[in-house]
Amino acid sequence: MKKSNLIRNIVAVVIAAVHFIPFYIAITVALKPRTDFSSRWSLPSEVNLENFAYAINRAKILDAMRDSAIITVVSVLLVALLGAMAAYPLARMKNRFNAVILKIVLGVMMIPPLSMLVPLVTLMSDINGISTYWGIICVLVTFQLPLSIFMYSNFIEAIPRELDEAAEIDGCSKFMIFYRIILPLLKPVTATVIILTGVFIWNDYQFSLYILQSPRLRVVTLAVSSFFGQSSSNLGAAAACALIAVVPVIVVYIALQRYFVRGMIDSAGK
Amino acid sequence: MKKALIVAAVVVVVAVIYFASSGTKSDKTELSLFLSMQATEPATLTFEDLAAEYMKENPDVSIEVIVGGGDAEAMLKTKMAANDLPDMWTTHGWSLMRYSEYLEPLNDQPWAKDISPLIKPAITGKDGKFYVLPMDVEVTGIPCNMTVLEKSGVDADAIRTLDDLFAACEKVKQAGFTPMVLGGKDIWPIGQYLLWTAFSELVADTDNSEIDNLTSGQFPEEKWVEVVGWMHRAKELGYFNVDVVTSSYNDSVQTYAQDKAAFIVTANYAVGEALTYNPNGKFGFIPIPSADENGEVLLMTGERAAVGVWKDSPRKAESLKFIAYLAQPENIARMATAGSNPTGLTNSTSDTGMLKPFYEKYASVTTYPIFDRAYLPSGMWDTLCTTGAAILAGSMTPKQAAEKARVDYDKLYHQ
Repeated sequence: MKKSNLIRNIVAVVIAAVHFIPFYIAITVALKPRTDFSSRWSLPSEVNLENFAYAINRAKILDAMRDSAIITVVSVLLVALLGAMAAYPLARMKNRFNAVILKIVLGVMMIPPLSMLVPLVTLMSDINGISTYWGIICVLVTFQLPLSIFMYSNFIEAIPRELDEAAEIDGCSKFMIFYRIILPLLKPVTATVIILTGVFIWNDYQFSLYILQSPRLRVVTLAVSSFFGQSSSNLGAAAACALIAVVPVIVVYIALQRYFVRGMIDSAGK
Repeated sequence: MKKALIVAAVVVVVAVIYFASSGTKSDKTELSLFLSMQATEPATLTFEDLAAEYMKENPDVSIEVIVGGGDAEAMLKTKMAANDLPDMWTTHGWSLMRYSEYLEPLNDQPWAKDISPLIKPAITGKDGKFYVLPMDVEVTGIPCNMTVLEKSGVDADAIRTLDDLFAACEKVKQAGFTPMVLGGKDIWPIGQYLLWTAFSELVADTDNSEIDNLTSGQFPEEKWVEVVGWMHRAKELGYFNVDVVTSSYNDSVQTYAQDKAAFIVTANYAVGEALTYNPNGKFGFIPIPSADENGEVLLMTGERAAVGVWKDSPRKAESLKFIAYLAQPENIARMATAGSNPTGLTNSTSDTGMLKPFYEKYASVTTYPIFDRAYLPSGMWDTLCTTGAAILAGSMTPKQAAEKARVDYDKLYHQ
């Protein structure tokens, strides 16, 4: 092996090890009983699954994963579809009105979401959207759409207008041009949008905390946080909860890694 | 791509139809009970059990127990601002100052005559109204680890003044243990320490009590220098754990539970928490000592598992029925026993476990409401915590901290 390759491999192993440390600590904490005061770095002398039982029975982490998955999939689909549809006219029809709209979309991205928490909760409560799937999906999609529109409009601007014109000559309407010609070309940026919004929505805590209050509908972040209180906390159960919640994400990422990486590279290339 | 689009559209349409129907209400009366506790606390489990038993007896009622966890306070504040509160919630010490305008007065409830004198002053407003059912009472003394005190040769009963406490700390330090463990990362334990010393300096010497001044808008700045001075002195003498600023409350409980520290800066509920880490530990508490030899030792009492009802709840009558169920003597006893606390109503008694001999020993000690909630304007708690943290970090002197406290007090009092 070449020396440069050896160094590269060593660096890669070190970086991988650093990333693995939080998981390792979570595993050791989750597998130890509360009465075990040994270092968090040391492995448990015997495997204790009580914390995993807490995570499943008390925090209902499996139900939370189902709810998180439903909310994430539907929200990401809506963000991608609506974002692409909104971005197409903004990118193609360059007039003063559309420029203002695009600036407003960008401006909305700058507003800290929590600064409008009280009116948001009041509104959702008035329309009975608290603790409902559609309520949290509406909120998450609304706050993720500006990013999606921004990314799609930038990408579409790089697609030659000649494609649109050729399709128009062939008799396509604007709607058909978008669906038949433009949309298939958006795969790379769609992969990026899916990763960014998907990760944000799966990890969302701030909106879920206020919009989802019923124990019948709760996401993974709320399930983990239920083990922390001001005067009491259960780190082992929280670690077990987090470990269970992270498994499907890892599986999905490993399974789709090829597509994600290619999507990001293609998107960057454009 | 076309296929993918069709699939995506179908998923969205099906999901929208499914989710739109997910909010369908049942025929039952649905009540919500919001707990400002974490999922595995004994009080949470007891509330859930009691709710389940109530639903069994009343099949037309469904009670949703919501576990607020660490962000319960923020959630309740937001919901207050949105005027969309749960039917019932635990008030974690703030039934009067924060929540009273949202809560139904409960003076006319049949159990009202049985409220324990231990908790009555802490939950009763100036107009005589109270807003919660206190199922148990949080007692604040100074939790101590009896094993460490024994090994250090300290007689806990002999601690009557703050000087005695510091002398005990010196002995503990010489014996190789941490005298006082404080989880400053969570910041509220810092405020808790200043509650002790404020109590010692301003209340315990009953002849020179500052209660009247504090409640009439006069802040005793000079005496406050002494209040924060006790924190400065403890830090300088090395009586706190070395990681006082960076360790969490949870870390401090573990240190205390492992027989490594003599006192923990919090309230008596730390003993119950410590026992979950070390069931064989020997824990107890002492009353808060006086700063002056002529003063008396005292205890602070406040709300723990205290439940109030939203005054604008559309299900107020049903919620009050559940509160009446919670107030039954056997249910009060269950809740108080779960937290090893005294009961909030006098018609039942609890098993306070390891702390029983201490409660018996200090039965005649005078109790006062928790200092900041009774004698300081709302918002001063944050000042206590931040000025205390600045002293621990060495960025403020006691004089500067007292000046800052006076400025904040004046501003908040006249708001």
